Amino acid sequence: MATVASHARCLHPKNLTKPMNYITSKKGVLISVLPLCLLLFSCSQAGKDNRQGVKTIEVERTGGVTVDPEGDQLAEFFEGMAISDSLDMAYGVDLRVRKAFQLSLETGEARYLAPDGRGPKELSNPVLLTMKNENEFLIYDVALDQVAEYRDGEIVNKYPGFTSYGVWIRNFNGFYYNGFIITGVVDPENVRAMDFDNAKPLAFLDFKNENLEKKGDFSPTIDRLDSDSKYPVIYYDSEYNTIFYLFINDHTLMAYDLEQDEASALVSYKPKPFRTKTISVQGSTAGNMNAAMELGLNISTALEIDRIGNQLVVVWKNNNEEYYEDASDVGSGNMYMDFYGVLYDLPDLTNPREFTLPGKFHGVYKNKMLITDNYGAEELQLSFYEFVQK
Amino acid sequence: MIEKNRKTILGIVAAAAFAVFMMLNVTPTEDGLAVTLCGEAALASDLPCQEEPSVLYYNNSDVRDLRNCDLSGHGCITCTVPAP
Repeated sequence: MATVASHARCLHPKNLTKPMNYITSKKGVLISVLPLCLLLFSCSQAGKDNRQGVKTIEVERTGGVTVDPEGDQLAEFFEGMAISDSLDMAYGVDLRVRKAFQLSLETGEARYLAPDGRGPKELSNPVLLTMKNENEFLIYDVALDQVAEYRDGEIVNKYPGFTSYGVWIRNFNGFYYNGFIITGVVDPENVRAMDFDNAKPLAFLDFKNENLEKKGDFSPTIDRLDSDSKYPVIYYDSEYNTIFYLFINDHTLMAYDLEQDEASALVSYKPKPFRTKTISVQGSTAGNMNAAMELGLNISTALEIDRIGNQLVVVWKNNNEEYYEDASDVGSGNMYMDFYGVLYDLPDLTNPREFTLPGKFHGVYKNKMLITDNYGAEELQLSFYEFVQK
Repeated sequence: MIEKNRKTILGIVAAAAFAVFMMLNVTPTEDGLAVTLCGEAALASDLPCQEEPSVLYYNNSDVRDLRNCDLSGHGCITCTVPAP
C-alpha cells in the first residue's frame, strides 16, 4: 500500500508542476527512487521462470529391440509408425530406403511390404502408412499419388491420392476411420491467403469413393506471421472418437469430435522448452543454411501425439545449433535435437506433466514409448521407455 | 586501340557468361541431370510453381529434411511427379 501511495504522490499534478522542488526535497528523492526501484525489480523478474507449479515426470528405459541385420535393411525410424500390440509388430515407412516395412518388436526381424516399382503390386515412394486392422493397410505413395490397399501380404488395389484433390500432404501421421484415411494437410488456397479462419487442416479421404473432405479449425494460438508450416500432426483416439491434433509450430492441443462433427481447442499448456515462433518466413530458405538455422532455432516442432493407458502424450523437438553446424549426414540430426513433451490425464487433459526424452519418439507399444536413443551406433535399435509414476 | 577494345569486350562477355553459369542449378535426378535457374529454388516452399509439378515442399528450418523437394519433383514426399 505504501508504495502505491508513494507512486500516487509521485504522479500528483502538484509535484509535476514543481519539478525542481519535488526532486530536491528528501521526500521527493525517496518518491522518485521508489518507482524506479519497482521498475527495475519488475524488469529483473520478467526473464525468470516463475512457474513453480510445473510438474515433471521422469522416464526410464525398460527394454528394446535391435533390428536383425539378416532381414531386410532399414536405415532410420521416422514418426507415424503404426503399432500392433497383439502381433508385437511395428509398421511404418523408412524415408531413407523409401520402403514401407514391418518390424517384429520381439525378434527385430524387418521385412519390406512391397517391391520397388510403379506396377500394381509395387510401391515407388511410400510416405504414409495407415493401419486399417492387423491384416490391412493403406499406404500412400507420393511418387504415384496413389493409395495402395494392402491386404494379407500384398497390394490388392490402388486409388487416387491426396494431391489429386488439391490438398498438400505434409506429415507422416495417418489413421483409418470408417472408410476414410484421415491426416493433416495444408489447405493451400486458404493458407496461402493467410485466411486461417476458413482454412481446414484435416483431410478425410474416402479413397474408395474417390472423395475428399476438409475439416477442422485452426488453433487460436497459431502464429499469424506467415503461411509456413500451417498443418498439424494428428492422433485418432477410438475410445473418444476424436482426432487430437496439434499444429507443427504451436502448443495448443486441438480436437475434432467425429460424432459431433466439430473442432475445439482443448488445452493451451506451453511447456518450458517450447519456443514461440517470432520470425516470419518469406519465400524459401532453400540452400541458405544461416536462414534455416535462424528459423530452426526460433521454433519448436510438434512430432507426435499418442495414447499411453489413460493418458495422452504430446512430443515436440527443438533443433540445436550443432545440428546446423555439423555438415555431415547425421540421420535427421537426432543427436542434435532436444525431445520433450507433456503428459495429460484423459478425458479432460488435466494434470500436465513435462518430460524430456533421450531421443526421437516413434509410437507406443504396450504402454511403452518407442524411442531411438543410440545415434551413431552401427545397429538400428528401438528402445522401450516408460514413465516413472511416483 | 582496336586491340584494347577487343580485350575489353572479351572480358565483358566472359564475365557475363560466368555470371549466367553461376545462376544455374544442376541437380542429379533419376532421369539424368536437371538444370534449373537458381532463382527458382525460391519457389520450393509452399508457393505455386511455374510448371508441373505444381506442389512442392521445402522445410525452411531443416535443410536435411528427407521430404524436401527440388523442382525435378523427385525424391520428395510432397511433390507431384511431372506428367510423363
